[in-house]
Amino acid sequence: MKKAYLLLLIILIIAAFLRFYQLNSIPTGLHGDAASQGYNAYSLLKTGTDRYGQSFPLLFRSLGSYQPPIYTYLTIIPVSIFGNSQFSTHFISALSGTLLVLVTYFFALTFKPIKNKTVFALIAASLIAVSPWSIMFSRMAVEANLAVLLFALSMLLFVYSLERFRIFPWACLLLGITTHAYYSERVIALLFIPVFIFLFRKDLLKHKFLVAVGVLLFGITQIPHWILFQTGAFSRRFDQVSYFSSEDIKESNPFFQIKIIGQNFLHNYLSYFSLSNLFAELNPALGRLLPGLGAFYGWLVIPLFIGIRDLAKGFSSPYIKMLLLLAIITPIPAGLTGDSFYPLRTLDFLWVITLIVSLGLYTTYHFFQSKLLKTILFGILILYSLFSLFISYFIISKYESKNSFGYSYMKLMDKLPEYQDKTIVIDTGRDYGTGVRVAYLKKYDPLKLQQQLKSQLLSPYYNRVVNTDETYTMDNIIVRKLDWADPCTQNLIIVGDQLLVSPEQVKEHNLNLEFTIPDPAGNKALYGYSTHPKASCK
Amino acid sequence: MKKLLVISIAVSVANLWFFTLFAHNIFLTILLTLESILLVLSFMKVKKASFLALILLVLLSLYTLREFDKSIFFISNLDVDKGKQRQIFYGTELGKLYRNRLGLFYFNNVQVYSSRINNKFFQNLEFEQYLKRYSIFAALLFFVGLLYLLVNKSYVSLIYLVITLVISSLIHINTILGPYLLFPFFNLCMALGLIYLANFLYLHISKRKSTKK
Repeated sequence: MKKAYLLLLIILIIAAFLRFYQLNSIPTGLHGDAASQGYNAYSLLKTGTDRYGQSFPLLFRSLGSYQPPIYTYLTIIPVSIFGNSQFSTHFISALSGTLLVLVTYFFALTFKPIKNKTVFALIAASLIAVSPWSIMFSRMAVEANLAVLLFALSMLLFVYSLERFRIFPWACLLLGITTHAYYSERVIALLFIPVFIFLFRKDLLKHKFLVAVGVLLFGITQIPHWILFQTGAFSRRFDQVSYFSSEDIKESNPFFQIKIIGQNFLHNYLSYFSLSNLFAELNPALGRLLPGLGAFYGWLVIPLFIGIRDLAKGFSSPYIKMLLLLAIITPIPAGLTGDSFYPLRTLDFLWVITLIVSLGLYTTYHFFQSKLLKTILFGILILYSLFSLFISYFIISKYESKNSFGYSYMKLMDKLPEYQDKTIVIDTGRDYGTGVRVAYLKKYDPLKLQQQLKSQLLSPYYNRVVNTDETYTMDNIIVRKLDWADPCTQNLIIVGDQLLVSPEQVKEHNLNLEFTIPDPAGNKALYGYSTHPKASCK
Repeated sequence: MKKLLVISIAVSVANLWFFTLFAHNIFLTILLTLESILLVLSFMKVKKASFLALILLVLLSLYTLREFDKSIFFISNLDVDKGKQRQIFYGTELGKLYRNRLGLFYFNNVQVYSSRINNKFFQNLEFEQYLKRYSIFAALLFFVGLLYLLVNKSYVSLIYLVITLVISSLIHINTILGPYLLFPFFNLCMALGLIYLANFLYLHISKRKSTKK
């Protein structure tokens, strides 16, 4: 057992290294959503309210939508320790990804049908530690990565509850809390609890009181959702990403509405079971996974098939039933959205697939008798996988994902102090997160920003309608959409990307190129122009 | 077991894929149907069926490889630009690890082509494209049959699957005939799925009847 814990410790160290190594610089830049979480955490730390002055938000209003709250609340800790940096915003996600390895180990240990549970648990923990999907999302400030940790932990409690029934209410409580970590879990939790009770009714219904307490606790955690439901804020994100409000559906009669919704759902739901989506490179333009890699390494498709075979063989076991149940329900929320295969929305499903692949790897591991052969074969595969991961994530992705993370806007912050005597207008045309990113990195006074943003709310804090056309004014820096009357103002620096100003507009408005900001590959990404209004402006 | 043979022949000919193949190449269709039968016989462990199935597979593979997908080794201007840019990234990050014969050969040749073949391999595993050639109900039959094959460790069928997937990764599959080397394997899975489900339902119904009595 000591040896197993030592190996687990080594796996945890590897997992932590892969998630925390150069976390402050890779991915290159800071996503608008991450900056929003960071600034809200900073604002809560300093004032007790978010950047709109809202106390204890149940959802954080942000960039035209809402962010689930737990991630932002937890980010207060790293922001208070490490300050306003990229590292602080990504910290909770990286830590969640590391802890997921530990939770997976204990979850896999509960698999009774397996003879050598420790080996299986170590394989599952290792696989999570080095899986491309887990590493990629652990290095981004995404709520879904925290949610998958909480979800896995609640599943562990549910499995434990099959033997120690007193744990059942705690499992329900944790699953209820998970619904405040990410959107997908709201649907998964509602589907999971009744099906779980039904599947294990023979055992659970002997303890009706505990089941009732569990359901009650889960219900209590859903009260904030009910409150938000009345305001429209609860479904704001769903309205944005689902196909339910598309024109095709709105304009059809009820029969065709059901048909179109059914077709869309089936197509998108099944896309999560597509082997090419899971194991091969996606269209890189989607920017959803790593270049040259799928959610899993390609060779793992073989253990997946073996794992499926093992599931089919041990179908009567409650653990296998639970795994199958999870495999069926976890992609449902993502199937309700308009995108075909969007891994971020289905990390719980990828976790389940990792367990099935681990099952297959365990069988493969025992298939080979010779220890030497096992070591050589698995050694080569693991080394090649890590090599592919290094090339894909730490080299290619570092340079090629710069647009999604606003790298150049971060570099711009180093340039702006040279223009303190001028007013700088940064255009937000293609990146709504620019304002909050500048505020976060500048550590702009939250009280001042709250006054500005509160007055710009065009609807109540919680509402179905969330405006994005906000202006951030921070000392001499103004972040908003460029108004072409601006060039008529003296002493102004206009900053934007290459699509903002055409050569004709440079001539027409008498603009002068002051500086350019490169992307990580050295290409010009942002342009700063000074204004020189002529008589024509008057 | 005779049931399986009859059902698999019925499944082989009663689908859209068979008729598409038949309309375009009768000789190929006959060979593929024959291969479907041999695959079923080898599953039934009929003597020499496995050997004959593999021989026919070799012949079919040689025939198929005439349609080798040359685009695997075609480098477009866009690829050249992307490759040049990535060479700079590799050089900056890896230094001497990249700037040596082995590194240059791997990153400039092996990686590009292996990644394309890998992606094509997984394109072949898109089951949706096959199920369109049968019917939506075939999906259930196929997956049940596949599970049955996996649980029963039918090595010949699985070796057949792996070989056909590898060969199909090297040829044009986005044609009207599709990755037709997999046609016999799909027929086998569906026939097995149909028999398994029929048996399952029959046992379930008779069990119910006996408990009622």
